[in-house]
Amino acid sequence: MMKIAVVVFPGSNCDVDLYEALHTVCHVDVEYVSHRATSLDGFDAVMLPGGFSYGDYMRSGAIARFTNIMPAVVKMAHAGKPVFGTCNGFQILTEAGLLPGALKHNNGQKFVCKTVPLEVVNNQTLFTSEYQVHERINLPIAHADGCYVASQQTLDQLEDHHQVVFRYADENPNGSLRNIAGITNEQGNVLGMMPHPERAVEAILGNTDGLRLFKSLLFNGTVKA
Amino acid sequence: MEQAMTPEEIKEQKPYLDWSLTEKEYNYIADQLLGRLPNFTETGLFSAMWSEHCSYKKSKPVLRLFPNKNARVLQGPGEGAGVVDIDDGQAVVFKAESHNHPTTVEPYQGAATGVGGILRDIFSMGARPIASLDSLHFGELDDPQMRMKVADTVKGIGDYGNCMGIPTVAGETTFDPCYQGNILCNAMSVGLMDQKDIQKGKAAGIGNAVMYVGAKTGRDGIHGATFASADFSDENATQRSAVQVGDPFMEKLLMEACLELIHNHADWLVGIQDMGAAGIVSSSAEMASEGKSGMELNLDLVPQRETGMSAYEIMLSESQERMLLCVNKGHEEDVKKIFDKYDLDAVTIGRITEGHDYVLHHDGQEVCHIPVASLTDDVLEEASEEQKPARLQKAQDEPAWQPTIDNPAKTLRQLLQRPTIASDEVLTQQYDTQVRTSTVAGPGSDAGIIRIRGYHKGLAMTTDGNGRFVYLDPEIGGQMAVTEAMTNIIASGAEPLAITDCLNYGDPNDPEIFWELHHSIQGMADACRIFDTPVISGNVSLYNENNGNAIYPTPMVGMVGLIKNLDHVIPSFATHAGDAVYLIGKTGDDYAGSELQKMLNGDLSGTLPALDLQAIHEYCQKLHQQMVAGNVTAAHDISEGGLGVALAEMLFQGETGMQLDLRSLTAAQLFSETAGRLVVTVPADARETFENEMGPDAQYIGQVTNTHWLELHLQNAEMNENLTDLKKLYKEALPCQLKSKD
Repeated sequence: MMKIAVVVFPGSNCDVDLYEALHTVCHVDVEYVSHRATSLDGFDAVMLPGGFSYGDYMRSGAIARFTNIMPAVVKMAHAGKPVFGTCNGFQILTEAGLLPGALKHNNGQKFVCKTVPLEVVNNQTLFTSEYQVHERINLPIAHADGCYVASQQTLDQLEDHHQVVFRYADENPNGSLRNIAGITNEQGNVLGMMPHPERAVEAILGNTDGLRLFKSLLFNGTVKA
Repeated sequence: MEQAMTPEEIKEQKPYLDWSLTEKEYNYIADQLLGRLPNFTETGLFSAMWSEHCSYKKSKPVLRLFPNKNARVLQGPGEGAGVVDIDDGQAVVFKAESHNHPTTVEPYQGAATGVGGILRDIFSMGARPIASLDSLHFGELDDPQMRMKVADTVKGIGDYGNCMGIPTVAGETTFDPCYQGNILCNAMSVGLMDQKDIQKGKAAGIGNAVMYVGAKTGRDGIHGATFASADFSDENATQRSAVQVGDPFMEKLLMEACLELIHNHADWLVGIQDMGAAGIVSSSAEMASEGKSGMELNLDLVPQRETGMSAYEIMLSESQERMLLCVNKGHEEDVKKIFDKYDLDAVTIGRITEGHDYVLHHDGQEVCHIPVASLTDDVLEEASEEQKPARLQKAQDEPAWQPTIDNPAKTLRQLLQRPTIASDEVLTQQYDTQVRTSTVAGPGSDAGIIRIRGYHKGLAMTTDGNGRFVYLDPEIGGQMAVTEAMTNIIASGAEPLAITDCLNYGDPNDPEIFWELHHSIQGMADACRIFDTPVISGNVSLYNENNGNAIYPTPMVGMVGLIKNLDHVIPSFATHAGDAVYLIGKTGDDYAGSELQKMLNGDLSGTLPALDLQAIHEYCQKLHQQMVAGNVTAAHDISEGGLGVALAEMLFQGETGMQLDLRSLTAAQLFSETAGRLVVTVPADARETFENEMGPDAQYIGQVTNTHWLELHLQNAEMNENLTDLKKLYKEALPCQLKSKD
């Protein structure tokens, strides 16, 4: 059985949502870890939640990457263990250099909260093996800084190495280049995405399309362990 | 600011008149309460604490008309927020607050700090905020400045609530010329708590510490409470120093720290209160008054972010994200450690003292020494003159306005594009509606619905205010506001629990406006009694005028309901083809104050028919029983735009349509706004039971079909409209009207 850490930064606010998705819905062993902690020893995976760490001051995720916990997150990523960031978590992962590119202010200049269709581009990852390739799913987004940008070269590399995992289908809600909604690192163990799979795991809330992301991770994590 | 004024100079030059303290009040304070002339700082404290915003001196006599108790009410008005029992040892805490004046002057910060203030009221009670709502009333969108104000107000609400991680799940937005110079921005917050955690704003126990926690004090918002208690005019159009600046990140930290303290160390705490209007003075004086204590504060210890602040400025600053605690002696360091973890200031600024005096020191001098009660309890209540508005008498003598509708499809298309009716998704999409992953129904539904984790129950919540009806008939309009909130709660499958309110009116010194206040409260109170929904908290916002033009009297009702079993949540959308459609409640020729009247006439006129509140209550109760029995698949309340708009809205979510026999109605009645009506759908196999139980209160009007068309057969007209086309008009109207044309 995996043990998963959910990091809480000052200003995180989807920490509870990730915790509940893992604990209550997936029945996984999960613990909150403070940004002040310096170790993630004993955890099999770490997740960075959405929210407004440090009030998004300076730049989304720019201050959180300097917190005490981040060296431990980097260590986990380098050790090949699963590292997942959604929304502000994705922004922190790019700021920390664990994922290429950056998230800019939405091209519509406004915060946008709605459910959007996505295409699963790569199902050969720790996080997406329970989906079909090219499957269309619907996940909620809720962000002001979700426009993914990178150099042409980086974008080409991402495509070549199958690092683009989710793409916005039908409409691009934030101006992300090549409709990118989620990417992994080259090794495939670090996933960052703007949509919120943890908000789509219960029928009572109207959407369960995010559940298989966690199921994929648990299945792959357990098989590997 | 004339810091050096002596008490004698104050008496002579009367600077307090600019702070909204009257000469009569000043003399009463000097002669009766103090027996001496108040000094500069004291005069400032009195003017803030005796403002309408803090003291309710004008509205108190009429607020007493509201019922505020029933078996479920654990805390009524008087504390930060009201508290209602929702079983299982849990309670729901809620309150609404207006931030009209700041939002009019500086829409972004005004709206943002409105949200911040109401959230502090909730978590100071010991509850975690779980949802926010709003009620926004703007001027017309052909004014480019108003379009900017709408954008800024919505961004202010979104930026604050989104950063706090509290979903904004419901609200209303209306547009009328009367709000052109005075926007209404009312924010409501709903919190959840265990009953054992209820806190009070109380300071007691000689020697106990008065601790200041949260953000530092600056010069922002000085005299905000007084500002909210005076009219707008062109001369004081830029009172920017009276508007506060918000920092939601700071508030998020403050909330987590306060909730950690309350939930884990309640024994260290005597009381806790938000520093809202009139900042330190109102929170400390009210807490001392509640605890019947004396209090001594040293203002040099107050964390400050600006230098050279006077005692007057420190006491009256409305800097945001601050709280005042009364902590048991010996636990000051323990409390400080908790706030240290969140990088927040926590400083002991004073002690509870013997006696009943309120004493302040600053720069080595005693700057205030007055009885606590003189600030809080001795405020002169003002008997206000009132007089029935002349326009009401005139309306009774005029014949009722009767619209002629030849082409109901065309009228429906026009109504769906009215900004007050059209989809406000372009605005609500800027709010995080799902954070905390408990939102069962968000914006676009009759009520927002939040499930309660660990239980199979939920809360339904709505805000409703329609100044147009209150303007035409304050008493019936007041009844209608509560009735609309109630039908929204019923439509979502919930049992109504209680209400909060924001009472937004013009200058109460005008006898006609005071009459409106009095009679609309009477109407609301009547409805609250019959529906058993007591008023557990609320807020009064008077002086909503610009250059002498008052807004429509606009009481906003925020109602919360309990869904005991989440299986009984009823959607607002009809998606099952084959279901039967019923109209609940009788439809009359009620066009006075309707959107139809405004659209066709450009002006409102007429009288409102009396409401049979008892009958409405009874059939809504019966309908609720049918919902619990599983005999209802969808429900939607009928409000602006009447039955026609309600039917279209019910069909915008899916692929279904309706084929309805409405030959009992004229084409005009399709848009009548008779209060207390709903449309519901019922599965074919439940029809017999449903009809037997509902009797003549439910009228069968047709079927949900599997074509996306709305086909209506009226007495004098037919219509068959493609719902995809109608939805396009409904969705695109507001984005289009908000776009700058010049």
